[in-house]
Amino acid sequence: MSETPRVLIVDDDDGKRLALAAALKPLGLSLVEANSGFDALRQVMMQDFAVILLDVCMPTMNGFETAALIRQRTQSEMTPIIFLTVFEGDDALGADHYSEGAVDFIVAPFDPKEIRAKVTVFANLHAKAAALAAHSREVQTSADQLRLLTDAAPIGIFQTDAANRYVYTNPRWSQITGIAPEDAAGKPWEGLFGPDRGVDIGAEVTKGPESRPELSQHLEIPCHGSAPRVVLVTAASIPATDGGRAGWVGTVADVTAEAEAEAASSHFRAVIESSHDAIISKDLNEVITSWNAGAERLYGYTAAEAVGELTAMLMPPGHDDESSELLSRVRLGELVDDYETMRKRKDGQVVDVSLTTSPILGPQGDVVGASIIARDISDRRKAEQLKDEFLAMVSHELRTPLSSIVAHTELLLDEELVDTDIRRNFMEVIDRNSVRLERLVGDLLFVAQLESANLSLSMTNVDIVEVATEAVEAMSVRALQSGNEVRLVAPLGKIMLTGDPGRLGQAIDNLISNAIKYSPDGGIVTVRILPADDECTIEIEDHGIGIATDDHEHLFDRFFRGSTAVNLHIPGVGLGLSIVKRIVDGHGGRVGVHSGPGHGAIFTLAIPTDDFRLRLGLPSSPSHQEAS
Amino acid sequence: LSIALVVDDDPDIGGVIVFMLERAGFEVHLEPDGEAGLAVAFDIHPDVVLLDWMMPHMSGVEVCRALRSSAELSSTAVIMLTAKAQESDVQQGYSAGADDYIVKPFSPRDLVGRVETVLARQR
Repeated sequence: MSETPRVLIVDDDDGKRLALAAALKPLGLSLVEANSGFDALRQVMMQDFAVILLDVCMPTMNGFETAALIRQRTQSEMTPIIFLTVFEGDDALGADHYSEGAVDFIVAPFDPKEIRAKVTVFANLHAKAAALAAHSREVQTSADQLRLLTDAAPIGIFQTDAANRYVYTNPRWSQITGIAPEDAAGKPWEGLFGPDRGVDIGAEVTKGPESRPELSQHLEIPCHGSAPRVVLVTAASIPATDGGRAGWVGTVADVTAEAEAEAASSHFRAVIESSHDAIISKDLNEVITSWNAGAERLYGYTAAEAVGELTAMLMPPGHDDESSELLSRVRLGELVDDYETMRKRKDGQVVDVSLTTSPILGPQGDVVGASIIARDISDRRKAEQLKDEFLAMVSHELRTPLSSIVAHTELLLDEELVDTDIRRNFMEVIDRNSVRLERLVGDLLFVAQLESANLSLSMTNVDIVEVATEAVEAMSVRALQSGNEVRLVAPLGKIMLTGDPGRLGQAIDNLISNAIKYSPDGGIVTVRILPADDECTIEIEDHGIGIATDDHEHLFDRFFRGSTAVNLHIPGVGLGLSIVKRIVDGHGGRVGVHSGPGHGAIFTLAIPTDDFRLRLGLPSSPSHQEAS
Repeated sequence: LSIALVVDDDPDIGGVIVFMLERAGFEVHLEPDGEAGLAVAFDIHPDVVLLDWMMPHMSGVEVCRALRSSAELSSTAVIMLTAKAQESDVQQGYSAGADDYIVKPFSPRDLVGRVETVLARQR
């Protein structure tokens, strides 16, 4: 308060007032004069004074009467009054008037120095009191403001004492928790959301201050008539002067919406992460912005390696412009579905992929990027390629014997051809090629049948030696033609099995046929029958081109052809071994192969004996059975 | 006497082609695979080569290309005689340098006519 303290001079004598004013002037105070008691009262009502100099002897209303009236006003009841009097030494009179609020008496004729000293004391006192009052008003104002703030704050606020009891909660706190302030006051924090409310804030609150200066915790608060609310409680410890904790001050926020959004978003993240397809996103500058586990598997880069990089790193040579071309279509809001192309893996390998690219829209509905779902279609491509190769081979394999038949038949119908030996020879060619054609058509129909139904076997008691002997004999002519010889090594006597003689014969037949076909330089093909307790093994050995070790795994797959055979242009459709395996599987047996490139091959068929079939729980008596 | 070289891995088909061409007055050589066929071609300098496509060791198309790129046999008449019947196959056969392309199955009489036509065109 920088206002100059005011002094009121009350005297009916103009000369005395003038003298007093002159005496006080050097103090630099604000001087107000009144010439009567009434005038003085009027001034006091209008403003506040540091001190009043009041003449005792005035007409109409004397100084004491005036003082009494001044004292009656609350605003001025404490204002110090100095009486001006001529009754020197009248102690009794003075004592009487102290009780009326007089603080001092000055007896005329007064000494200017004395009066200045006395007024100065009161003026200083007043200035101090005024400053004190102003400060107190300020404190009050900021306290009011703080309360206003906490009451209106859009967040729950609370404070607890050293025993964790609530000492303050704001209206929003009550709104969020559903607890009225009067219910909260004095209750311990950790008990308020206690078992009956289904929430336990835990022991954190009551632990020593050293353990926990701050805490932050999500709580679920049951809510009457609706789903529980999720609130975030954050609190800071209020340090006490003794080093302990004076309580907690904290906030409570309703984060139910955020928690739900977070749950939904993490659900989506989980869906994307667990997707088998690669799902990535990029911005309009071709910078990768997200990368899921499927993308890691497909492309070999981790998310950390890929995010922030340009999509150009995935482009194989010749595909550089493709990504921006796709992006320009997506920019127009277009969805590009099932776009088949190629991409480069981290290891440099190129993979066949099918891409679905769709725009990512920003909050304003404009295209801000693109999401790309990539699917590895290498297997599909490979299957298509196998099918194409198969069809080409089937075409070749059908047309070749058919060519012989057509050509020789035409010549036989030629009347000029009269030589009976030649005619006989031509008929044998037609016969041989008809058989070959029949075999292939049989194989194709057999495979087609397997596609739609299970393998049907007519099980009976079979002498496997007899079946093998027939197969070897049937193949001998063809073997001789191509410079091969087929030998059978079998124990004397019969070896009886339960099986389908036709199908077992077909299996052995296929293997001998292969052995001849893949021995282009001729050689001996040996068929061995090796009986044992559990199973009888039929072994077909050749000394032909052999099979690459990498091919063994797929050798019995339908349409599969060994790389050596393909490289040497040896015709075949890739059905024979798959048929052999299906037949042997149908008998509860096993197929096997031992071979290396250039070292020939040994194929084995192990068919369970009757004893073993019994132990396996397979029927050993003649029956008709379905095997998958 | 015109010399014909027949290269086919199927002995029956090879046999009937040899029969027909010999009857038509050719001197005929038969080889069972592309590699052997190419070697023999350089030995005998045939007037016409009949090539199967799918054969061990070396395909007919490869033999055809090899003949076309050689100095001595680049102008030898070449006829592809194959079971590969797709349009793209035929295209590939001609672009390898074949003078004619016959798809199996074929008529033996027709074959002789085609061989003579190709040779007549050569002269």
